[in-house]
Amino acid sequence: MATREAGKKMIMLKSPDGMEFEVEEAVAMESQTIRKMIEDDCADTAILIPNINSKILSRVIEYCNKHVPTTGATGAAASDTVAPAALAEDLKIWDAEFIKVNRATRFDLIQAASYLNIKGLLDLTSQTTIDTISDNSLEEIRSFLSTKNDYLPEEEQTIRRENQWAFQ
Amino acid sequence: MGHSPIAAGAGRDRLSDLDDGLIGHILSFLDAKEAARAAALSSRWRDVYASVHTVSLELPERPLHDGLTDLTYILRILRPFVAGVTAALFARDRRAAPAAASVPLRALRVCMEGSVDYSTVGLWVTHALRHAAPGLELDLRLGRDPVCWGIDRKRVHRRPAVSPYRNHAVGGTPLNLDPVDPSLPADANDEDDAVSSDDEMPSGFGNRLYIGELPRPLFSCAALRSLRLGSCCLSTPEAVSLPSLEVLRLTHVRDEEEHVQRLISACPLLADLMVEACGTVTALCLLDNTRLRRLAIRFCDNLATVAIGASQLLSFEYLGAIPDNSFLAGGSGGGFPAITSGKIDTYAAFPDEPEDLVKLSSFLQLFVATKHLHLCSTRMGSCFVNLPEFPSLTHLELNGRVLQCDDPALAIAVTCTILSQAPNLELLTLVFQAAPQDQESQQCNGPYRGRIEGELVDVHLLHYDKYDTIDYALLMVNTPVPPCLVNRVSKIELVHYQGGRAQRALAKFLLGNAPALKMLYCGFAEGPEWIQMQLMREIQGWVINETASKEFR
Repeated sequence: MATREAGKKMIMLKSPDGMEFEVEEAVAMESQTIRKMIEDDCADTAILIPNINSKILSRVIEYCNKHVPTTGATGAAASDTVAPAALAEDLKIWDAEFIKVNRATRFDLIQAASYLNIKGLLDLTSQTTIDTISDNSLEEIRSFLSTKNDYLPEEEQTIRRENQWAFQ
Repeated sequence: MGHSPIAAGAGRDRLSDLDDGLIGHILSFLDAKEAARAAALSSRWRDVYASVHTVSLELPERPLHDGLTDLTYILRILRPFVAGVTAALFARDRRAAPAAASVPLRALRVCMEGSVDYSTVGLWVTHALRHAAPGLELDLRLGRDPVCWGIDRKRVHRRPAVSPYRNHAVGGTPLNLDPVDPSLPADANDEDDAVSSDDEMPSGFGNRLYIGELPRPLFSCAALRSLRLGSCCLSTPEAVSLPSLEVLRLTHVRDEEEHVQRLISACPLLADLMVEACGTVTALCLLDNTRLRRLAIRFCDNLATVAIGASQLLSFEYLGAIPDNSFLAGGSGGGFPAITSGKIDTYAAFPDEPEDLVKLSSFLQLFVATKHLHLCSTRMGSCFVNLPEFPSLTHLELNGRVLQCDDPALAIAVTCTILSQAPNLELLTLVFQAAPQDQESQQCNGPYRGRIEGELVDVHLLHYDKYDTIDYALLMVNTPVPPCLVNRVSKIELVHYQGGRAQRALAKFLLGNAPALKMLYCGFAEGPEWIQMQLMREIQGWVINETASKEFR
């Protein structure tokens, strides 16, 4: 396995369209899926990441690079609950810039974050999706999602009755 | 809208293409009502609510003049809300076919004012525990402070100095008037007991409604990672064990026989603790909580001692009366070297007695290694003129009032005294609190305030008067310029800037003596644009380093 920069372990990630990305192991391990592969010793030379093209993969790596904890020494359990306030603020601003992408890219990122199991990225993309649709009427959301109401009138009545608490 | 290479169906609804688990995750970021309404979108969405793993419901704050009597409010708003929470929890289990189980519950968050009977809360908690995913979060702020219902009338401590962009923060202010729920079942409210012991509390929580007992299994839940309780009487079983709990926040929690302490002692992984307005807590021992990283103590006026071990505490927030010397004990003599972020907020407008200054000074001695310090007092800086040196401090935030009628020279002198104790400061933030809206502010209207224009100006917060020269005031200043300002300060932030003589003089003094300044941020208080423009032009002229970037908002 390649090593570089004072013994930092490097991992090679390959996208299905043939691009290769060399990343630090710690960065790659932001993905719980990859972490598991590494821990199970399934990651000899390179890891093929299926279904994620190079454009999306490079963005995911960009995210992981930014979010990898700077000091891994102190307890992992507490790391996400007690990040220094200033650092957390910085990351928030960075995230807001990062997620300024079009809808198609955002959906790709959601799927990538889900497959690679990167909680922070999945939450960021989910939250952004929600921000675009919340506070809209059902009709507006339908048109935004270009989804068709395929209920019969009486079916829709039933659903509204079952979830009456939500429609009050 | 752009097209990414693999976005084959761009324009189609790709959200519907995701699997239920992923849709459920996304919907979990919504209020539970909105999430459940998604079922009506189309048949694809029929059962996705069962995949929602977080049930979150917040009762909107009651408007001050909603034209409802308390009783109609309870019947029309409060009761349906409570019923809605129950429905939201149980609706996850209802799925047409195939009858697969709902996903485990990761979080239940309920935030409301007013009252709810404890058997209902018990039902929620029991249900949540039964369906808990590892790492469960329970957030039951059942007695959120009804900010609009109560107005401080008598014997009030200063409201906490919150910066304007955080005004919505929940649960900070103890109020004297709480709503009384006439329909409250007697068993949910031991009224007599509450009043008698509340009388002793300086902040006055009379009539606060407390939830009675919580289900016992809560106190031995291995999955629970985060617990937030508001307005309840804590009564724990003998044996408490919360092996996964990392975050614990208690607001208006009353106990007998040190049940709060018992709860805290049962959490070996506790990393984040907030104790807020818990009047029955008189002492805390955190010696066993070796994983504690963040501690916040707010409005606990009866809390006299906190014992902390050889801690790795990173962040400490204290909001309350000036603490005694013995308040924090344990830090092996020399303070807490690991604390990188400290926030101290005292009620005191001016320290009444010189010994208060000494007390504060020795209290702050514990935080000399901090990098980020946040000091709040009613008058900006007034309580912190007797500070130890903070050699590591890079970011200082001062929060408080600097009023139109204040002596500009004094405001500058106080700020300089504080800055001179922070030789390595890089970022200075000043958050200007608004003047109290009572006669006090009327009395201190200067000679120019009496004009008709002045009345208009008084409606909002901005003050600018081009005839009101501040140069004379600056001439009066004989404090030496703090070295950090000359050498190091690269960013100054003025938040909620209102103008007025004292603030203008202070700003001019700071900006004119900061040659290393690279960035200036200034956010104005509410007011007409023309005054903001005047103030902005004036400030731009004061910045001595012409290459510094300036942001106004």
